[in-house]
Amino acid sequence: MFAINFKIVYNRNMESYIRNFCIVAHIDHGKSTLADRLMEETMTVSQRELKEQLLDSMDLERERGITIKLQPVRMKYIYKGKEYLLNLIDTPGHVDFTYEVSRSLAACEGALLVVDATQGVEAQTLTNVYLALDNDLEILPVINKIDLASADVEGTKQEIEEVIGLDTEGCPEVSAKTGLGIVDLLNQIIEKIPPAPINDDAPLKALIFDSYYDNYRGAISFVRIQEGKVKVGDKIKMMSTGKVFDCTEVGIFTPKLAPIDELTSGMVGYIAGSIKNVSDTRVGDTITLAENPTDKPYPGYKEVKPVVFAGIYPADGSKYIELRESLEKLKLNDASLFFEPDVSVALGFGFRCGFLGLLHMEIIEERLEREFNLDLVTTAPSVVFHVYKTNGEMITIDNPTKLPPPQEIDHIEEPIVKVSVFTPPDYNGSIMELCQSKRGTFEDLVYIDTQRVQIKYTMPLCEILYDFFDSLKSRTRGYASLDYELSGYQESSMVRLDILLNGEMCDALSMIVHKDFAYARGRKICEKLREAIPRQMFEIPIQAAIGNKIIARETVKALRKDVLAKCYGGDITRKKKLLEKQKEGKKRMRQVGNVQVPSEAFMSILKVGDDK
Amino acid sequence: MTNNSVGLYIHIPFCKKKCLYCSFYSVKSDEVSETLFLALLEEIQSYRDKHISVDTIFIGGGTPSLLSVSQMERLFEEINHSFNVSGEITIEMNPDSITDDKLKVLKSLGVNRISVGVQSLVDEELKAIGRIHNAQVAIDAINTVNKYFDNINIDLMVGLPNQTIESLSYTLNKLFTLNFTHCSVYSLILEENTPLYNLVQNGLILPDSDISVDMYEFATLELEKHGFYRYEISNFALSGYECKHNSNCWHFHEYIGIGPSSHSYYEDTRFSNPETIERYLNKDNKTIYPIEDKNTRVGEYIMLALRTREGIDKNDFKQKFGLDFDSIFKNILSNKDINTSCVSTTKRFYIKPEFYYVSNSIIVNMLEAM
Repeated sequence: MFAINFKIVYNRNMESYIRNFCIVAHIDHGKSTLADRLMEETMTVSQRELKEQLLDSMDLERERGITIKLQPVRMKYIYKGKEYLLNLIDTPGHVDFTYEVSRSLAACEGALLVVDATQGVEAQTLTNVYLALDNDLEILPVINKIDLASADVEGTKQEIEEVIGLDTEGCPEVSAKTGLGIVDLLNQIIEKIPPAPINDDAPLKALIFDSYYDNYRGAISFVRIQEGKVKVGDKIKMMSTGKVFDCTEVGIFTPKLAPIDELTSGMVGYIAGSIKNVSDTRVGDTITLAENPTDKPYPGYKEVKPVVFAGIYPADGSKYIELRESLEKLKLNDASLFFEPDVSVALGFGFRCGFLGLLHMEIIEERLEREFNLDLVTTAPSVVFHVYKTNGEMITIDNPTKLPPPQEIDHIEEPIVKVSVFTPPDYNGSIMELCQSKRGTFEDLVYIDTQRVQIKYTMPLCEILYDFFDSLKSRTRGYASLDYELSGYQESSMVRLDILLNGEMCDALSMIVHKDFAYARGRKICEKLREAIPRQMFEIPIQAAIGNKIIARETVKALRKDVLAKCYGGDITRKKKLLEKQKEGKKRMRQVGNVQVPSEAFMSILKVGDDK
Repeated sequence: MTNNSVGLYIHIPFCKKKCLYCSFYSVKSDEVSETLFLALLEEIQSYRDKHISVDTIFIGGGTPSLLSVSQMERLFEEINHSFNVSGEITIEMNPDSITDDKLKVLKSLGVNRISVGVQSLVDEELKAIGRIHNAQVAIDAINTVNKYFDNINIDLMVGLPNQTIESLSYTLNKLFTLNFTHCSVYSLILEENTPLYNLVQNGLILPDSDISVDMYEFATLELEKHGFYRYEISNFALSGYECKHNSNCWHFHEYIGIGPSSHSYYEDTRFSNPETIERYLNKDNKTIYPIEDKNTRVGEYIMLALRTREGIDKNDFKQKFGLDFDSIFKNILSNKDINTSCVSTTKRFYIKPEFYYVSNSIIVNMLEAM
C-alpha cells in the first residue's frame, strides 16, 4: 500500500515536460476507470484514497457511471530519468455536454481515444474524435478492456483505422480494470502527445474549461494557461464581459485543489477571485490581466444556449421557495442551467427551465429530488420554435402556452438535428422504421464492417425528446448507440394540442406537436390521463383539442367508492385516520377547475409512447 | 357540558373462530375467560361512585353470545349495581351460539334488542369469509330470537367473494320472510393484517368497488321497499326501531367503553382501553385522544353527524360550539360539488343519500374549509 503525500514542488524547469491531454470515449468504454488507473500508477493518489472512479465526484455520476462535470488532475511521472507533469482533463461523454467537451479539448495538446475492444467504435466515439480533430489535437488510440474474453483487439483496431482513419500501429492495448498495459500507455503519452508550448512573457491568456462554486472561495475557474502567468494579487479580467476581479488564489489539482504561488504557461490549474457568480466564469471564456491584457481572447467562445425547455413545479405548491433556492444553488455550479419564474393555472408557481438536452434535464430533476429532497412535477419538454408572425416579426417560443393564436402565425420553424445511430445490421429495418415514424429523413447508411452499421438521419429535435431513446433501446435490445447534433431550423406544420379537463383547459398539459401526429397523441394522452386521474364525485370528461376542435375524448367515471365501513364500538379514530389520509393525498393534487389532478398525472403524459 | 345520561359499551373480545376479514380485537376461544370477565366487572365497578345514568347499553365483540348464562347474570348484576340503567339494551349474537336458554335469561335481565351477525344467507359466501355458521343456522337463530324479542337487528355484508346482485337478492328475499326491525349493511373492507388480505394478495378476487356499490344500492332499494329507511349511512330501520346507542354516538353523546380496546367519550375526553387482554389485565394506561381545541371537536362533530340522515342540526351546532354553521362554512356551501351532493336548509345540513358513497370526500372538503 502506498501512502504518498504529494508534495507540490514548483520548478520552472519542469514546464517543458508538461503534457496536457484528455480522454475521449463513448459512454461505458471505460474512460473514468482508465483515469483512476493512471492516477494509481503515477501514485498521484494512494490506494487508500482511490475510490472507484475518483474523478466522478458527484454521487449521481458514480451511480449512473457517467461523467457530467469535468475534473482535472495533475500527475507526476518519471520517464527515462526525467520527471514529467501530466495534466489529465476528464471529459463528459454525453452529447448534451458537447460544448463542455470541446472546451476541455481546447485546453489540451492531445487526446486518448479510448475504444472498448468488446464494443468497437460507437456514435459518441466519432463525435468526440471529430471534436478533437477540430481542436488540432494529437490523437492516441487506446484499446481498452483487452482482458475480457469477448475482446476483439484486431477488429477494433481495424474499425478505428477504417472508420476514423487513425493509425493504430503500436497503439496502447490496456485493461483499465486490471492495470494491464498502463505503463506502456504512460510512456506513449510522453512520447506522442506534444509538449505544452511555453511563453511566460506574453500577456496572460487563460482558457476557462470549467468552473464551479465553492462556498468559501466563490466561483472557481478551471483554466489552461495558454500564454503568460498569473499569481495571487493580480487583477484578472474576464474577456467576454470585461469584468475585473482580484485574484485571491491559484493552484493545481492533486486532484484536490492545492494552492501554489503562480500558474505559468502550459499549466492546468485553477483561479479563484471572490467571484460571487459562476456565470462570471463561463466555460470557454478567456481570463487575462486587467493591466496587461492580451489583444485577442482564445477563439471559439460561445454562450451555451439551452435547447430543451420544461416547466418544473413543486408537487406540493407550498414548496415554491425551496424549489427556487435549490435551483439557485444548482445554478451556482451549472452555468448552462437556465430558469425563470413561471405561473401555471394548473400547477401554480414554478419555473420555466432550459437545459442542454434531455440528459441534462434528467440530471437536474434527479439532483433536485435527491439532494434537495423535493417532489417535482415536470411538464412535457419543449424545443425552441421560431414563430414567424403575420406582421413579419419572428419570436422564439419554448413554452406551448405562449404560442400566439393561429391567425397571427404565418409559419413555424422547428429545430432539426443530424442523428447518427450505430447498430448491428439486424436492427437496420427497425431503426429506419422508427426514424421514419419520427419524421426523419434518411441521409446515409454505411457498413463499418459486417457487424456494424452507421445510419444517418435528419430529424426534428422535438421527436427525439418524445420517446425516441426508449424506443431505440427497446427495438435494438440496447445494442444501438445514438448521437445527434443541431443542424438548423426547418419550416413545419406545428399545432398546439390542448387538454381540457371537465371543459377547462389545463395549461400545464399543452404541447406543440406536428399536425399529422396531433390526433394520435391526443388520444394517447387522454387515455393516460384517464388512468392517472382518480375518480371523483362527478364524471370528468378529458378532451384533447386543437383550437376549438375536439379531437379525442375519454371519461373518468364518477366515484362511488367511499366505503361504508363499520364504525364500531365508538372507535372513531379509525375513521379519523382514514380521513386524514385522504386529506394528505389531496395535498399532492392540483386543482384544474373543479377537477383534482394528482401530480403524477402531469408526468404520466411524458411517458406516452407511440410504440406502446 | 356532560349530558345526564351516557351510553355504555361492553366489549367481549372472544370468538370461537376469527372471521377472515375481521381486524377488530378478539381472541380465539370457545368461552369467555373468567379472569377477563372478572376484570370487566371490576372496571364496571370502578364507575360505581359516580352515580351515572346509562340510557343505552351495547354489548359487542368479539362474540358476546359466548358469555355463559351465569356470566350474563353476574354481568347485569354488576351493571345494575354500578349504573342507573334504563332504555335500550342490545347484545350482539352469533347465529351458532344463540340458544333458548340464553335468550330467556337475557330477556329476564332486561335486554330488549338482539343483533344477529348474519352477513349472508348463501353458504359459499359465508364460507369464503370464514363465518362458522351456515344459512340454515342463521335462519333458525333468527326464528328462535323471534320467540323472545321483537327488536332484532340483522348485520349484512356486500362485496363478498363470489357475491353477485342475484345472490344478494336471494339473501334479501330469504330475510324478508323472517321478522326483524333493523338492518346494518356494510361493505366488505379489505384490511391489512387479516387472512383475507393475504388471500387477495395470492389471487382471491373481490367484487370491484363499482359492483359493491351496485349491490349496496340494490340492498338499499329492497330494504326501503320493505319499509326500512336509511336513517344513517349504513343503517336501515323500521320507523321507531333506530338504534339509539349508535345514534347517540353520531350525535356527540357521551359513552363509556368497558373491556380491552374499547373506546370512551366521557367527561369530554376521548380515550381507549389497552388493546390486548394481557395489557388490559395488567391495567396499562388508557390512551387519551386529545380534543382540547375547538377545531378538532367541530371536525369530529361534522364527521359523525354527516353519517346520519338528519345530518347537522345547525341550532345544536351553535349551542355546542357557539358558532354559526352557515357563516363558518360560507365558502364551501357555495362550492359546486357540495351544492350538488348536500342539502342546506335553515335548520339542517345533510348529505343526500345518493352521495353517501362519496361522504369521505365531502367530509374532507368540509374539514379543509374550516
